[in-house]
Amino acid sequence: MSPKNLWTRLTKSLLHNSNGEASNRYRILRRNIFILMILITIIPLIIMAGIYQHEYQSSIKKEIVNPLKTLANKTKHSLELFLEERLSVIRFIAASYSFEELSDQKTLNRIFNVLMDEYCCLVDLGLINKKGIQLSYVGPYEFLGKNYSKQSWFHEVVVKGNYISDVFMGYRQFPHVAIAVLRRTEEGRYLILRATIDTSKFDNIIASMQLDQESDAFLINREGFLQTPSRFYGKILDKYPVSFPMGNYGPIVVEEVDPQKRIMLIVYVPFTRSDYIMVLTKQRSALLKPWYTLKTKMLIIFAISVITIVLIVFKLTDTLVKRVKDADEKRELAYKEVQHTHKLSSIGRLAAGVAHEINNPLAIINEKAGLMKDLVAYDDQFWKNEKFLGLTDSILKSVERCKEITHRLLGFARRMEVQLVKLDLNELIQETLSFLNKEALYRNIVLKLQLTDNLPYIVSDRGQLQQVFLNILSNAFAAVEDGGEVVVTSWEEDLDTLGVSIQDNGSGMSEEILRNIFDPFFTTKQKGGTGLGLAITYGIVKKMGGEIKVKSKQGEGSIFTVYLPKKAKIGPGE
Amino acid sequence: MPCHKDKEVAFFGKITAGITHEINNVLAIIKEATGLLEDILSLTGEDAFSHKNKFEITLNRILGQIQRGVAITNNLNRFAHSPDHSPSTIDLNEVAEQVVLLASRFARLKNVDLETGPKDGPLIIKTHPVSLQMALFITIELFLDLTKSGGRIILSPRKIQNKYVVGIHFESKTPGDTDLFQAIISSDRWESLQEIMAYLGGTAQVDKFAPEILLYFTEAINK
Amino acid sequence: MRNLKILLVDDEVEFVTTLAERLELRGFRAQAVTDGESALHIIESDPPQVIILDVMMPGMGGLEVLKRIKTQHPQIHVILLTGHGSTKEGIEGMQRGAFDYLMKPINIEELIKKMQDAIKSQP
Repeated sequence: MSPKNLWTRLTKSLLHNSNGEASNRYRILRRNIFILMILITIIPLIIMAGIYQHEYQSSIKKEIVNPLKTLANKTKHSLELFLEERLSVIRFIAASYSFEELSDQKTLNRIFNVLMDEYCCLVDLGLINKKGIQLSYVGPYEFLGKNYSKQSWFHEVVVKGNYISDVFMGYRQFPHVAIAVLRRTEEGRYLILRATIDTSKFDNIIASMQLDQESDAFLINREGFLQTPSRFYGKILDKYPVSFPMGNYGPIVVEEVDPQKRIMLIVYVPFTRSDYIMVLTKQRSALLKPWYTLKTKMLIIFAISVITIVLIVFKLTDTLVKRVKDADEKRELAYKEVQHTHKLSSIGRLAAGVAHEINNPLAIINEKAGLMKDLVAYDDQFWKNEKFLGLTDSILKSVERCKEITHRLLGFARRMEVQLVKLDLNELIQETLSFLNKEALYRNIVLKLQLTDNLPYIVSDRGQLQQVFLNILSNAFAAVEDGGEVVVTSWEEDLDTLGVSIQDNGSGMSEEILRNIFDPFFTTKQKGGTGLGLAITYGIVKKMGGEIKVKSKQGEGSIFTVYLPKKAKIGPGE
Repeated sequence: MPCHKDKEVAFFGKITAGITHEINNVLAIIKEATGLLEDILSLTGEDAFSHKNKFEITLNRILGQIQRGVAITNNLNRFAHSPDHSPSTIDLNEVAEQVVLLASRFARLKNVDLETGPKDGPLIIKTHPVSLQMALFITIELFLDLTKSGGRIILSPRKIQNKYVVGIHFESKTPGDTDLFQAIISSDRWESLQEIMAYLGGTAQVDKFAPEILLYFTEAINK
Repeated sequence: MRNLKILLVDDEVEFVTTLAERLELRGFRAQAVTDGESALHIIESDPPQVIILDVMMPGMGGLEVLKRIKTQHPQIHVILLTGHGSTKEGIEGMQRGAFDYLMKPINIEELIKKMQDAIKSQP
């Protein structure tokens, strides 16, 4: 649809609608534009915000979570290293000294002291034979001679060659871990060297993580008992209250709800050589605080943007629709002006036609009276009665002719205002035609009337109907050549409608012209012609509740058909 | 739609009807005169000379009426074409004369003399011809309402301080009888006049001292 | 000026015959017809010196007749009669060769003067 067509459609719809719909139309228009603009601006905004949120969320989570993982992993490594170190020392000792040396208390003592100087956290050291009996011991406990053959760790160290125990509360209620190694000697004996380590060092290592208030890091064993004190979940050997994944795995991050109803982000890093699991936990809300802050900021910006957009769109729509309304009103006013002028013009045309017509009979009277004067002047014997009576008779005939004309004009002048009256449509058509008679005569246009007899009455406005038929008839006359034919037919279309058709055998109109023929300002005249005649005619017929149609064939002619309701609908004052 | 538009149509009808009546009057006179001719012709013998005289006089009357008829139809034609181009450029002097012609019948009915004042050079403005004629006509009607019989109405288009004005002046047969100013502004027609003048982009005012109704027009109406 | 042959063409028979009669009374030789074809016929058989021609006629209009006259018999003077609504045709007629035009109802004295002027301009 070209812009021109759109414009014509709009003008048409404006001109041919009744006024009652007007205010509603603008409300609907305002609403529609508002909704459309809001959708156009806000939907992309939402999509964009959604995409950003999603992207950001996953990347931020990664950013926040990864360091945690790394930290946990590192700490686990440190702890593992710590234990490995001690285990390796004990292994070395077991490898370097003989069974006899190690079973000697004094030698063991000396070894222990050196170890104590070099390595921290050693609590005791002792040798156990393959039967599980502690043969030598240095340390604070009374383990000498103790039998461990029934204990699970003994079996484990015999099988695996290494053992690291879970944490237990030992000497002075400090947490301890026991480590043991097995060496087979050349003689086939094997010795088990066992040491106890003070795991308060664990705490230092964990403390070096430099965790903040919302974080907690600790060790648990595979059964879920705390091996180091936990800020949130209890002291050593308390049960870790959260369920954790079993099996072997690399560092993983899970989200869980803890007993305090907080959502926690928990990193689990299982130790490879021992039963421990490094647990690093942080409150998700605290962890994601920067993300939440960002999110909140984004939300606020989004909200402000939306509100601003809504306000601006509202104001814009309002202004726009007001402008449209103003323009429409101005146009409507201008159109009404033109319509009014057109009406007066068509009345004026008829009156002018009448004025012109009267001239001829007046000219006749003039000549007749003039002749009589001549005769009287020339001839004393002017009593040529017959002759003179003929002349006076002729004058009287001309006077009658004038009277008929003025009678027509008078009737027409009296009925100029808008009013609904009962009309005989045929009579009205004939009256309108009478004003065009002279033109038809001069141009030898053949007028054929096929007016149905006893056509039912129609209640309508005489002046407007005349305007309609005058317009269509004028167009028909303009379309035909001299000597052409115009056929006017009237009939009863149905119970409620009368039909009138005006057919001419003129040049006809092309498809394109037919499409636009009722459009305002559309004219086929090269110069002159406002292009409003048919538009106004269309408007009048529509306002009356009628229909107007046109068919045409180029080279053959056109036929205009008007359907009029027997009871016209016209508001007061047009 | 301003209701003066409906009034315009009514005005158009009224004037057209008035003119038509005038033509009918002409025709009536011609008819009667011709009847008289027939009567004279039917008389036999007697004083041929005096009859001839009468005959000639009557014929002259008929011819006179024809001239009058032609003038009237010219008037009608001019009036009928006034809505053709609206707005259009006109000379206030010409329009004043036309309106005097159009309204003469109505003035005659009340024995009021209706005329235009001395011309002061062309006064060209661009306006709506029909509304303009209507405004002048309503002013005349307003004054006609105020008198039972007799008086004089003078239309004088002129320039007052570079503004285009038509002054309509009323000389009552019995001056000092009524307070003209009060009568003017309390008249129904005064309101209609204001409406039309507003539509034309001008104003209607009363000069108390003359007393005169002054219609101020703009030089070019913009539409 | 006497015996000037005049042809009157106007579709109003009462008008044209009466006018012819009045001209005859004044010593002219006036013939009246009511349509263009008859006028052209007479011009062939018995050409006048002056033609008084109405512009608004049905059938062959006044201007068409004027054209034919001016092409075939340019020496014939033509005076046009117009109504008050057709002064345009009058002026157009003069552009096409008519000597002058008068508005109906006419003043016979004026008509005679115009005919004299036409003859004087070119006998």
